[in-house]
Formats: sequence, structure tokens, C-alpha cells
Amino acid sequence: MLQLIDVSKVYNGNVVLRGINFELESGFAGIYGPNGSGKSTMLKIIAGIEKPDCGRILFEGEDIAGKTPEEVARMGITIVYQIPRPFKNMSVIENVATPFILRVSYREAMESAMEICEFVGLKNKVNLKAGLLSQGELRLLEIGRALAAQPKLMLLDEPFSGLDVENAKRVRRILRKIKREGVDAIVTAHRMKLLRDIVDVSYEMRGGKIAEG
Amino acid sequence: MISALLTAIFLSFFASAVILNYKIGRLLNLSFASIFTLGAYIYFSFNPTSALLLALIFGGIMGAIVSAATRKLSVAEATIISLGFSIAIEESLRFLYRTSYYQVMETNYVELFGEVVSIHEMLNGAMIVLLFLAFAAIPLSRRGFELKFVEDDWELAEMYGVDTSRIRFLTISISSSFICLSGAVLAPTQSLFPSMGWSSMVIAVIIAAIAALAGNAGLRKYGLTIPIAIAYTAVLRWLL
Amino acid sequence: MKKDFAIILALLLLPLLLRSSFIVSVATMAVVYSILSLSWFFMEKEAGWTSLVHSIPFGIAAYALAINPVLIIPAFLLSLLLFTALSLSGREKFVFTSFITAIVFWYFSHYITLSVNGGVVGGEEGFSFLSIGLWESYLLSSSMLLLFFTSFALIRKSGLGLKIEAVRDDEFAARSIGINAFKIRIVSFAISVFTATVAGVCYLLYFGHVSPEIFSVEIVLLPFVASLIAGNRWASPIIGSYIIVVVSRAFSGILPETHLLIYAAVLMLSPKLKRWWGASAY
Repeated sequence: MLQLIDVSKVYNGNVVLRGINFELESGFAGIYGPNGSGKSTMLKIIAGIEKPDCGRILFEGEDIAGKTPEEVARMGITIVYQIPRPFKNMSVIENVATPFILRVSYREAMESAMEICEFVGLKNKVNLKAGLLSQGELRLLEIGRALAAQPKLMLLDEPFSGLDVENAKRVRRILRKIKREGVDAIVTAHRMKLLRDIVDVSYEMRGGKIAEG
Repeated sequence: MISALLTAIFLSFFASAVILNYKIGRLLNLSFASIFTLGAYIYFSFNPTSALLLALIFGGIMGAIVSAATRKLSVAEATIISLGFSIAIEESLRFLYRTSYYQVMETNYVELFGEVVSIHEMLNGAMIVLLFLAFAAIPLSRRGFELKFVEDDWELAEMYGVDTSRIRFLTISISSSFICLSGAVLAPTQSLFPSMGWSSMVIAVIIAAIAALAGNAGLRKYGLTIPIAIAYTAVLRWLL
Repeated sequence: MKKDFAIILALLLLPLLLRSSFIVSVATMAVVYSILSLSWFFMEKEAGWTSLVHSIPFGIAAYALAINPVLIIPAFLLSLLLFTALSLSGREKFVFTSFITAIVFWYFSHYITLSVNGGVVGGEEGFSFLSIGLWESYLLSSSMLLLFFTSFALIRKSGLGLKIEAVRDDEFAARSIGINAFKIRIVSFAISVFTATVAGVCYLLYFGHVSPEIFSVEIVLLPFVASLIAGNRWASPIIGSYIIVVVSRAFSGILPETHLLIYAAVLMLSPKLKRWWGASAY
């Protein structure tokens, strides 16, 4: 499904990714590593937010390395940012309905969005402005919005960071549900322990290099 | 030619003040348009010596008010507030002088290298050259270092204990003071009307925008305003 | 939104009931400016771009119609192109790049002249056009105002509205879910510019004359001030336009600068007013 071949990235003379080779056929892959190891950069490069300096990224056989974020999203890859980026002046349901709008009518989008809100546990907050949600709820909203894009592959950048135990549990539950739905994903975290019961395969990232761990 | 050069020096000074306020004050200070006009009207209303002093004081006060009113706001919000001040000053002048007629004041002229030049224009040119020299000397002082620090990274400077609010306040007040003074010195060479400052303001912003393309590096962007202003006045002379 | 619609309908019907030519003439001016303010409000509230350049589509449309009605379409396209080009500087800088552009355009508008039968028309004097009459103008501009107000309400409750709002709130996040943010930006500009263009047409059809004053700072700031003085609702720019027109008329003999002093006060208080209206909405 997804293959990274010799992908490198340099920021201001600092090598962030050093010839990354990575492959995901299906399921959930976990990437753990310390701050600055290159996890977020790798996800941003896959999502089209950053451009690799060299290397190829194949998604379902097509090279997506030069594509824009919207083109990558339309191919079925969506990213959940480490720091949530909601549409803060829109209601929760409108946030989730927006990706649906690209495929269906307004009414259908709203109906489908309601289902997703129920799925991620935000049914009671559908009419609330996203800017008024708590950190944990924002993370759930981000996941819900990404799901609404009906992705083939989800990129979850540190989905547990900044969450208290309760909210981390909620996010974990949702991720398991997503996995059961058959969506593939790459999830990053600081520590392996956070990902152990969610992912099928895990990798360690250190100094811009990746290794199975 | 000399007259064009003096105009270029004035525009370059105006544009530098615009850049400085944008970098340090984080606003496009549109109140300069009317503060310049205020200086000219002060010259029109008082005797020359008191007028210059009053222009410095009133300009500084206006700058201080603008600085206080635009603290901790976004660039867009601060710019809009400065526009409000500009209109308030302009309309107050219109109300106080209650005339739409142009006020024309007398000046003396001298012949220099075969060209007739206004004495006030020369005085203004000399004064602005002095201001430029003072401006260029600032980086050598401790305050100058802080100024450069704030200009480069406001938040970082604040974290390192630089009193950014004070630097911002002084920058806006002093530059407004100088703009008002230049309005007073230039008054005898211009037709006076409440919106007279806008043409200089718009040209200065355009010059500043072109100069800012040179990036954030040190004094380069301020220095660049001189050739751009000269090019502008040369093109204008050629067109007219 | 229904309450807003009722307010606007009441405002529009009142002069028809009073049947006074003076009141209708003031109301027509207010309605024309309301269309302009509404176009500005759409771009600010819905698309998130604070413009100080709406005088250009408004004025160019009036000029185009006065010179040759065929020029209306190029005028609209030119304005759209200008908005798009200015938007490349980013949202924050758009406020002052648009303002400076509007001022530069005002200066140059004094040089718009045409050679007609060996003579020169335009310039400071501007151009004349046949007015369609007071009542006709009022009915036309009122219909346009209602049409745009209803259209904007429908857009807000449509897929396009969701996309525009998503791009407004976070362009990058919108792109990450597959929205072509640049295309949506142009569409939202086109809607706003088209509305301002229609306002310009209504202006000329009512006044029968257009001069460089249509590009003046007063017109540049009118939609901004009108939208800010009467709240943060969709009826606000319309109510605000009425207030400005009525106040200007009332004080025109006593203190002609009144409305500009109001403008200055509103601009100086704008961040506080925005926050206040925003807070009172919750």
C-alpha cells in the first residue's frame, strides 16, 4: 500500500530524515522515538505537507512525492496533527461534515457527520463551536474529521500527547474501533509502551533513521 | 536635480520610519500621513522656532498615544487603529481651519549649481541627513543592539529580558516626532490641505515595501530606501 | 437569520409606506451602500479576509457602466484578479496592501478620461449616465439587497459555505482533508466582488453620475465601519449603512465632518468593538 524508498529531508543544513526505507502493506504501524527523531517530518512528507529532498513515496503504486496536501488527501491519505487544528469557528458537526461535502450533498454530509460524531463520542457536543472544546475532545474531533475523509490510510501524529489518562483511554478506544473498521494507519508516539496494544508492527526512529523494533 | 535629490532623501527618511515602525512596532503606521500634515499646520500657525519645537512635541505625543492604543494587537488591528488616528487628526484640522482652500506659504530661494532651490527644502534635507546619521549610529549603542534584537525576533528578545514595550513605545513616539518635524520644515515648500500627507505616505509605503524585499538583514533595507527613492524621483521627473 | 431577514424587510418596506421622496432618496442611498457593505461582510465574516479595497469593484463597475456597459464583465474580472493578486501577500497583510492599493487607485482615477467628439470627458468631473429614477432605483436596489442576503444565507447552509468557512478557519487543515483552498478563496472573492459590482451598477443607475469620489477613503472605509457599528449579525452591515447615511444627512449642514469623525472613532475602537460583539454573541 505505502512504500518509502530512500527518502531524505534536510532543514537548514540539518539532516532530519536519512534515506528512510519503509513499507506498510496493511494494518496499523507504530513509529516511536524521541523528540526530533524525524517522526512528524516523515508523516508530513507522506501527507504532502513537506516535500522530500530525495527519494520516492509510492502509494498504491503511484509516486506521491511531489503532490500537494489536497491531492494526497483525495487519494485517501489523511493526517491527524499533533497539535489539533480544528475549524474553530465552525460547530463540531460542521467540522466533521466538511470532508464529506467533497463527495455528497449537504444533507447527506450532515447525516454522515452525525454518525461519525457518535462513533468518536462527541454526539452531545455537535452544535458546540470547535474552539470551545477541551484538548481531549479536540483530538477526538480531529480523528473524526480525518475519518470523514474516508481514508485508506490515516497518519496519526502523537495522538496521545498532551492528554490526561481518561482522554488517552478514549483515544485508544477509538483507534481500536478504527482498526476494526479496516482502516490502515501509521501512528507515532514517544514510547513503544503507548502503542503496543494498538499496532501490528512497530518501528523505532532515531536520528532520522528507521529500524524495525 | 538638487531638488529631486532632497525629495528623495525625504521620501527615504519617511520610508525608513515606516519600516522601523513595522518591524519594531508591528504596525503599518498610517497615522504618519496626518502627523506629517499636523507638523505643516503647526508651522502655519506659529512662529518658525516655536513651530519646530511644538512639532517635535506634538508629534511625539501623537506617537505615544498611537503606541499605547495599538499595544498587544495584531498587525492588521494596529494598522486599522493608526488609520483611525490619521482620519481623526485630518478631520480635526479640517474642522479647526474650516477651509478647503489650499494654504500656500512663502519661502526663500537660493541658486545652487544653476538650480533654484528652496531654503526650507535644503534645511529639511540637511536635517534628514542628520537624522539618518543618528539612525545609523544607533546600532553601535546598547539600545541599538536591543533594537536589532527586537527587530529580528520580538518574542525571543522578550524572553531574554529586553523591555520590548518600552522600545516599541520609544520607536513609535520618536519616529512620529521626526515625521511631524519634517512636516513643519517642509511646510513652506508645499500647499497645505488636511489630506496633504497621504501622497507622501503612499509613496513611502511603496518604497518601504520594495526595500523590505531585501530581507531582514541589519540596516540594508533602510539603506536601500535611498536608491529606490532616487529612482522614484528620477522617473517622476522624466514623466513630468 | 430569520430575525435578520425580518429586520431588513421592515427597513426596506418602511419608505414605501411613508411614500416621501426625501425618505426614499435617503433610503436608496442607504440600500446601495448596504449592498456594498454586505459584499464586504461576506468576505470578512465568511471568508476571513478583511478588505479595504471594496471601493474598487464598486467604483470600477459604475465607471464601466457609464463608459460602456459592455465593460462591466471585464471590470468584474479585473477586480477579481486584483483581489486574488493582493491575497497572495497573506491575510494579515491584505488589510494594508488593499488599503494602499485603494488609495493609489483613487489618485489614478482622476486621470480616467475619454475623448468624445473632439472633447475630453471624465477626469475630476467623472462621467454621466441616464438615471432610471428614484422609485425605480429604490425597487431595483432593494430587490438586489434581498436577493444577495437570501443567497448568502443559502450559501452558508451549503457545501460551498462549509468549504469557505473551513478555508477561513485553517487553510492548511482544509487542504489536508482534500479541499482546494486556493480555488475556494477565488470563489469566495468572486461572490463578494460580484455583489460589490452590482452595488456599483445600482449606484450609477440611481445617481446618474460617477466621479473619482467613488474611490475615496470614505467609500473605502464605509463597509468596514458600517459592519462594525451595528453588531456581528448578518443584518449588521445593512443597519450600519443606514446609520451612516442618516447621520451624514442629518449633520451635513451643521458639521460635514461628522461621519468621518465617526469613522475615525470606530476604527480606533475596532478591536474592542469586534471583541465586544463577539463576546455578546455567546
